[in-house]
Amino acid sequence: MDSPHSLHLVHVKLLAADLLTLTSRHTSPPSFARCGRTVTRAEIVGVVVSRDRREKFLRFLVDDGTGCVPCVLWLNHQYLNANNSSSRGSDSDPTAEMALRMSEVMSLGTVLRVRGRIVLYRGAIQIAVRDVVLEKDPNVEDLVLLVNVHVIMVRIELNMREYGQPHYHLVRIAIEKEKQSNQRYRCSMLIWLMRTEKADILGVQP
Amino acid sequence: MNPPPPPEHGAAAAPRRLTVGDLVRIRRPTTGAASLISSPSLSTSTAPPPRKKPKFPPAAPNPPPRSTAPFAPIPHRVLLSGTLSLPAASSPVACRSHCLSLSDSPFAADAASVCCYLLDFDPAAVGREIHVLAWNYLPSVHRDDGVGVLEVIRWCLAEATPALGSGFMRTIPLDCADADELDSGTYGHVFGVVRSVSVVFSMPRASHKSDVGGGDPSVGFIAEIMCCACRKCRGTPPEADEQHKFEVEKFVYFVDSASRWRPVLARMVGRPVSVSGLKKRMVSVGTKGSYTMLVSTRKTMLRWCPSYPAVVELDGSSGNCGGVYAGVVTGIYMQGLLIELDETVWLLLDDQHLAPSHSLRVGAVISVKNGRAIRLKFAWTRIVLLGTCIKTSITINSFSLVDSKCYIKAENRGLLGKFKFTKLFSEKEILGSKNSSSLPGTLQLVDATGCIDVVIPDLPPNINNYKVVLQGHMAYLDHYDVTDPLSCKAAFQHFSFRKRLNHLKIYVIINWSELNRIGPSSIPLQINTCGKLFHLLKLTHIYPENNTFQHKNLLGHSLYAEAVILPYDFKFTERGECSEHAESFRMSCTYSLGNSKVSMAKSCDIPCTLSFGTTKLYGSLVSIYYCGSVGERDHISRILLEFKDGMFNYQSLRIGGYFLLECPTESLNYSMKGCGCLQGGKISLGSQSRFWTLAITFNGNTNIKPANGDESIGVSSVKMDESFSRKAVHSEIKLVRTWNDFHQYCDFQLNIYCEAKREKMEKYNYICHVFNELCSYSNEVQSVSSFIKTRVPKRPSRSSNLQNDKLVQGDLISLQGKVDNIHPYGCKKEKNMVGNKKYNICIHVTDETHMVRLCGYVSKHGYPVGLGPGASVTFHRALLTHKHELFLTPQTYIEMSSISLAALNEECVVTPLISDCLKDGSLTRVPSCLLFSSQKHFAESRAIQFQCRVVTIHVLVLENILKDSQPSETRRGTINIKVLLAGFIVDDGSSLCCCWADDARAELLLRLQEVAIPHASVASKFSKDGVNIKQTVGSFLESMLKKHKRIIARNCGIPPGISCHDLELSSALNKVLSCLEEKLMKFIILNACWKGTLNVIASALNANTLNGFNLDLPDLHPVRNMPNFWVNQAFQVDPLDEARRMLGMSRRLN
Repeated sequence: MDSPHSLHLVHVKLLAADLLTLTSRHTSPPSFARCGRTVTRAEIVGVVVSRDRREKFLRFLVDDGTGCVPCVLWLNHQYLNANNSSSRGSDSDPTAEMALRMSEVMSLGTVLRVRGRIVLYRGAIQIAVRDVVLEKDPNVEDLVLLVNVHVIMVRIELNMREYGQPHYHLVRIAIEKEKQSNQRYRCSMLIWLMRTEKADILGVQP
Repeated sequence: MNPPPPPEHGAAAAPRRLTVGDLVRIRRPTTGAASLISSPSLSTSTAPPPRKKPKFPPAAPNPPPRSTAPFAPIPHRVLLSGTLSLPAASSPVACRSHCLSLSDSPFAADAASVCCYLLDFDPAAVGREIHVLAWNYLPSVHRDDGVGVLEVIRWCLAEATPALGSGFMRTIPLDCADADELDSGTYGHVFGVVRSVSVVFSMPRASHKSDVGGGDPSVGFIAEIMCCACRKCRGTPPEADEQHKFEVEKFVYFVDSASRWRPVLARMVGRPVSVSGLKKRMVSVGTKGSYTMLVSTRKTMLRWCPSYPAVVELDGSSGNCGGVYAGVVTGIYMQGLLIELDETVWLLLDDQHLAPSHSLRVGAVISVKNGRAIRLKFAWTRIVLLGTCIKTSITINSFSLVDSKCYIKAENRGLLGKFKFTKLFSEKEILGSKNSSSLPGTLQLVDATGCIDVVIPDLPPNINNYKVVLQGHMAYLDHYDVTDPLSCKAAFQHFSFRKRLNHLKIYVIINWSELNRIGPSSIPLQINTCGKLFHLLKLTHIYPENNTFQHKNLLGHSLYAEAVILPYDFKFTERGECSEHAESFRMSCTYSLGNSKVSMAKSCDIPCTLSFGTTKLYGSLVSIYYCGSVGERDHISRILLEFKDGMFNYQSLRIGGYFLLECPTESLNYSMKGCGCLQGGKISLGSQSRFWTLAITFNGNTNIKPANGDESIGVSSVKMDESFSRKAVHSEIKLVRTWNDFHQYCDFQLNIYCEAKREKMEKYNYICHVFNELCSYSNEVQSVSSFIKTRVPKRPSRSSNLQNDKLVQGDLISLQGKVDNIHPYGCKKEKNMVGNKKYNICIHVTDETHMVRLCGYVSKHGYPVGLGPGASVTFHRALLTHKHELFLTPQTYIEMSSISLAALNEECVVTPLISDCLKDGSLTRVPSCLLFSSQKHFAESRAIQFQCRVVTIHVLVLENILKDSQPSETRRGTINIKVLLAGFIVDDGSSLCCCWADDARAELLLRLQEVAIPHASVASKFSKDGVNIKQTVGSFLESMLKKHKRIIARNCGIPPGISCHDLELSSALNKVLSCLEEKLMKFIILNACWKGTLNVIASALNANTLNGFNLDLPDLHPVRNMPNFWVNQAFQVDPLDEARRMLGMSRRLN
């Protein structure tokens, strides 16, 4: 587990398209892999496009422009505490309080940074939320996209042989998405990046 | 995740009935229809695409179906029905002018009504039940605004009962009196075509008519009706006749209860109506007189002719408000005051009640009747403006489905007059006029689109009225993806003009010689009293513009310069001849020869001539001191010149130049003590002051007759200029004239000549000596090479005493050279850069062999135009410290000699002045790369920068810093605790590491300065005053630490788990922490773990160093293997800066 290739303790910054296409390993609990490395936790940034509050949990969808990630924030700490440690039962747990607070800030249309464990629910990948940060600066979304594009560039630049095929489809997906949602500025930024940088390597026609 | 309700199967099922009461409970924009078998015309409103955010487009060749994104369709058939009526009197004004009301039967259980807007309005529907077949519903965003609006796309009458009345005219069942009561004999009536309808307005009633109703204003609207004047029509009822000629204009004022008829009348524009039951009233319009007007009464009835669809053509000729325009709304700006139609026409709404505000959304098709089209042809674009007036009516032809936002604010009027059209400059010409000038060599050009700084190097100083033709180029536009840079959208939505300018770097430069039709410069010389004195000044310094003023706020704006007063004044002698050549010159020979004091002074005269153009006048220089006094040169004193209003011709000033100042004192008497006007050390000059540039020659030469060596006026400045001018090539634009040109174009030439007499020779030689001595009063301008050779600052005399002071000491020098590079300087990240008008920059100045660096603050307004690579500049009064460093000081004046055109084309002339320590380059930045947890950075000992988030807190040591006696109020606003040590487990997306920090860095990572509210029990216990629980996280800790002195928290939970169950807390006083105290500590730790990303600059830390803290660290397996770092600096992430940096990094990768 602790090999240098393992990322199991780390919240890996992923695009939704990447996260949802992780390879799941048939272990217990299930683990996930990307390019041969174990990924168990992830961080994504996107807009809340759906929100379903239940008594014990809050389910929501985060759309980062490359896909929608289902997330679940558990709100049942008091039940767990009541069962596990009766000595602390009378006081409310700060963890539960924090979770409740996070569930309150999470309204439709807000941009969130979500961290958590990657889990399988009915065969589909979702994030069991550890924490949520409300991103107030709208530039964050662009930055995340840019970081991912940049990462691709770096990876292609330095480790092309090691990792084989470049994952230019992510950029293409992002471009298509931007085209569709008429976010032409971001789209053109990506195209511009690709055009000026590694068009030949990425195999994208400028 | 939210499955929609199951759709109903089977087309035969009857549509669900929907009441208005059901409708108003909907809280989101919704569309519904009674039939889902969509006809092509209805497909957009009734097609039920799933309400999901669209994913990637399918590879299918078909175009994707049009999305009804903002509106949620009801997936099954619904039939909405209700009674159509006029809006209630209590509804908002905007609704009363345009909307109708749909309501349930008043006997229904939860009867409700909703504001509605109908397409294909038929007057027969008023007052009757209708079935709404296709509709949009927009709930109100603001609760105060009522329930929302129903947009009826298709409808039909519930029952086909015959309408009231029959035959030619049909009564519209408004809430008027019973038709039987109508007595047409006593009341007037009109029959004609409605031409225009005003909005509903209120008007104060005449006060003397007490019976009309107190002080309440009357509310109503005016309809303009073109009536038929034929005999038949004078009797009622009007009959069908093709001979009707609607030619007589009449105005009907629908007042009080009839004012609610406006929505109906507005839809009758262009159609014939009959209004009966009117009475005549005299209306006085201000002082313009009285008019007869028909006013509605309680018995007024409105009828219409269903069989008479003839629409009177509206007069759309230009100049009349009769135009009709129908188009798609493509943009709404200025809070609804400006509406773009078809991306070409700009509809200006001066009154927001003109338009049905609910439905005026992007995508709607509207028609504007009685508008006035104005075609504006500018040099760079053409715009069709559609103006509105009181007659204009705006109706909706088709509702928008692409937008559900209503942009129009309810009560916001009269903004239209305030805005300017700020637009881009194109390749085309822009004509503007000079506004004002504050920076030497520059003007501000202002036209309707904005303002721009213009550099006109050889601008004659005395011309005030002219136009300038500029050319700019459009670059970068594609990058911002503005399809049409001159469209309304581009102007109002995308970027502000200034922002674009910054991006475009339009840098307009024009040579005066290329301009036409500019007359020769004339000298505004008006000397009315020949007895006046003229002082001679030599400018020694110009102070840079103060940054406390805005460009726009030039009134009361002062600029300052320093000069030395020459010890001679100029006076005209009686020998002078009145010139016929200079019209403006008025010299009255009232010179009093009998004045004894004058004759005394006269003995010290040095003869000279003052000439301008072809006019030569004789005068003399008189010493400002009593004749015969010794040491005149010792009394040369400095004076501060204040240029009081911004219109003063500041740009003609030049350091080292001579100036002639007409003595501002009124007294004609020249006393022995002098006029006294220069005694105060400061003199204020306004636009009325007489202050001219002056070239001084000696026997016709600019060079003084050699007295000591070969010194000349201007000394090295002249030499320097000449060398620069020789090297000047066409790729440079000169902003400052050479000294030769300066002398040539001076307002006056003062020639001091030597007479053959011996005593005169002595005086002449002496005055030459004085002028030579003057040169020492201004700094010699050094070249970079000469500076490097001689840079030995004078040692301060009392250096020992001053060494401890933090004052920077040194000499002020003047340095000339070419700018090689400019970059932001300093690592202090200043967050509020926008408001901060000072930039810390570093300028590299070079000549052909050497280069020096100048650092310091330049204010935004003092930043000279054109200061960039390639520019030739002179820094006057730069500070040379004892450490041989050069600094810009607040009094450093940067004189621009020339700008390099080549550098301009390289887009780098204006280096963005962003103080950005990230460009420092001294730090290794670790990119947070997926799968790139390169360990090599950790091995290096130097500082690295990375972005990370706190995962858990390993160890935390907090200490109280207040003494027992010290009340906590003394340090209000700060936290009275200290973080002695904190170990954070952080995650940068590629690996975990342990970051150690103390003090302010730890406080930031712990978020102690942020406001957060713990659980109520904790908050009330630990809040400072027991009441205010909204305080910073850190302040909650104060009372707890006062009690325990020091608290150590050790987290034995295994990272990255967030649980606080394994938190071990201990007090330095061995006291047991209470349950609430424990809870507070947990809250603080959890709060830090659930926050966003921070930038951290850290250097590797040897694990053994930690032993020095003598702490019992939790020995956890994952932490043991983590690299340890010491945090040197932590700061917030600015996503925009990061993105910019990232783009730069990507570029470098190539």
